[in-house]
Amino acid sequence: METRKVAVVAAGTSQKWGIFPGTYRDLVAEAGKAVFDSCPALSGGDIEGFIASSVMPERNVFQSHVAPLAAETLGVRPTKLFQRVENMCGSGTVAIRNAYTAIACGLADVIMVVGAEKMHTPEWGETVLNMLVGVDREWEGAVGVTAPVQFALTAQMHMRRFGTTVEQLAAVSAKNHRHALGNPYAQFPKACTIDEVRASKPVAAPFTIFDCSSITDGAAAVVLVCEERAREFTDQPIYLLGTGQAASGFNYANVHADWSEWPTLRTAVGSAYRMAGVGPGDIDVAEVHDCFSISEVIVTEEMGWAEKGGGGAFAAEGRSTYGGDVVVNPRGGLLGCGHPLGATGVAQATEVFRQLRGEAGPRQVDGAAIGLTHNLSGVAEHHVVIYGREEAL
Amino acid sequence: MSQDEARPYSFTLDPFPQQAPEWNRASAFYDHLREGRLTTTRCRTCDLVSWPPRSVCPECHGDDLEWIDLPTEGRILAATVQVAGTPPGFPAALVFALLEFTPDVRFIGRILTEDLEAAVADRMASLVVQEVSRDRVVPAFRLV
Ligand SMILES: [Zn+2]
Repeated sequence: METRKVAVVAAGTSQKWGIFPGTYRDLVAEAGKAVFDSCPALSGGDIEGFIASSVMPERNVFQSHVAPLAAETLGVRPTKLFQRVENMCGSGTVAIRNAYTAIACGLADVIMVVGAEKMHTPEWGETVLNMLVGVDREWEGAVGVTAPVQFALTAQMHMRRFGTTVEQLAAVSAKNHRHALGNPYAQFPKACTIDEVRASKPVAAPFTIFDCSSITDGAAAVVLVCEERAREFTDQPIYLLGTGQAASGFNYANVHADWSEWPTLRTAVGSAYRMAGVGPGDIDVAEVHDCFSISEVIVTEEMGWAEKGGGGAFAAEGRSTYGGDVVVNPRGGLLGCGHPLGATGVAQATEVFRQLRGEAGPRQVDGAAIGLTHNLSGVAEHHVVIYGREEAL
Repeated sequence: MSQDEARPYSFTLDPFPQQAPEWNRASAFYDHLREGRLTTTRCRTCDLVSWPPRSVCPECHGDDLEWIDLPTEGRILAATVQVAGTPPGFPAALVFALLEFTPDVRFIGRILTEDLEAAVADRMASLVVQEVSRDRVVPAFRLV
């Protein structure tokens, strides 16, 4: 089928992730302003389609129907496409895929995607309780299971099967906190050693607090347009070259038997590589979903960068940082930036957009031409997008 | 009466499922659990055993389902001890294990143990019934 090519022409985030001093509306406003300020040719009236990505505003700010809230806040009156997306932690990338699809098939020319999550409430216990809505609440949340438990068990399985060590997990964490030093909006920029990661507060064995991404308020937004109109907005459009998605199951214990392998990620990234006409070795820069340190270990394996079982060594040997095979999580990832659920995928796209335009400042990956974002919603639900500069089309 | 005292119980502010038949087609699971049985549904049309229990078979989409007993002992595939970040009502430390009951039925269970190091892969754990808020029950496990 003949479809139109789609480019990202503007992107931005809220200024400092962490506990946001304002309302959900204020958070959306700040990220939207960053996008409009960065692209003088773009105004609210240009935007025909609008997608809000937000996971649990019903719980954390007692508000549903957030797409019109966000559109009104940013002066957008959609005429072609209008929706909210919720796929838990991967929502932002799902929203971008929806925008891509609509533009590619001609439903709209210009679509804004806003990801926003205000997770903190004044009561910490309530904030943690609210996280139970993201698991199978009847069968897992009801006995107290949250994401750190699910991923700690995943890490235990990977360590048992492949001999992955806690020091290798800590190498992922130390790298991403160090990368975050170059990112002004990151919640946890920190130069820390592997020993300091191991010595930090234990959470769920084998994880310490540094192995876990945090509860975070944050927002990000991107604008996607059809190729024909990209130059109305920028001289440096960044094109969406390929995308893939795969999912299996919901009840965590039964998605598949061995969580040290993520077969649905292999399916998702395989689709994206084929569509983009690239392979693992072509990726210069990647933002991947390091919700916990083990996640990046397994992701680097399933992407085809590290051999299966070798993801821990891949990080420990410096192959996923500057000067290595592929720079993974230059903005600091979820570990360094925090993880405002519905905003994370949009912020990953923002980072790849900046990297491929050479606008990433102190964290710039030299000569980055092809970039990848990977967002997950549990070990068996994966969303991948590959972006490239115009010459990669 | 203050505003706080006048507020009704907020069921969506606790994580426990509604277990009475007028709220839940899997209410028999909780009746069985009170008897010390661990059960799930089997499809009489295609024989598929599902976890969690179903009201419609995910394979053939038939709704002629029966309750079957699972073993009340499961094998630990992996375990962890959570010492921070637990939700309200679940004071740390908590021991969790991925438990295998049949080749196709696994779930993550709380292991009730004083010895935080004792839950390890390949050990067995057996069912106990935990009472929670408002006359509801959830499954938990003890090491055997
Ligand atoms: Zn059936």
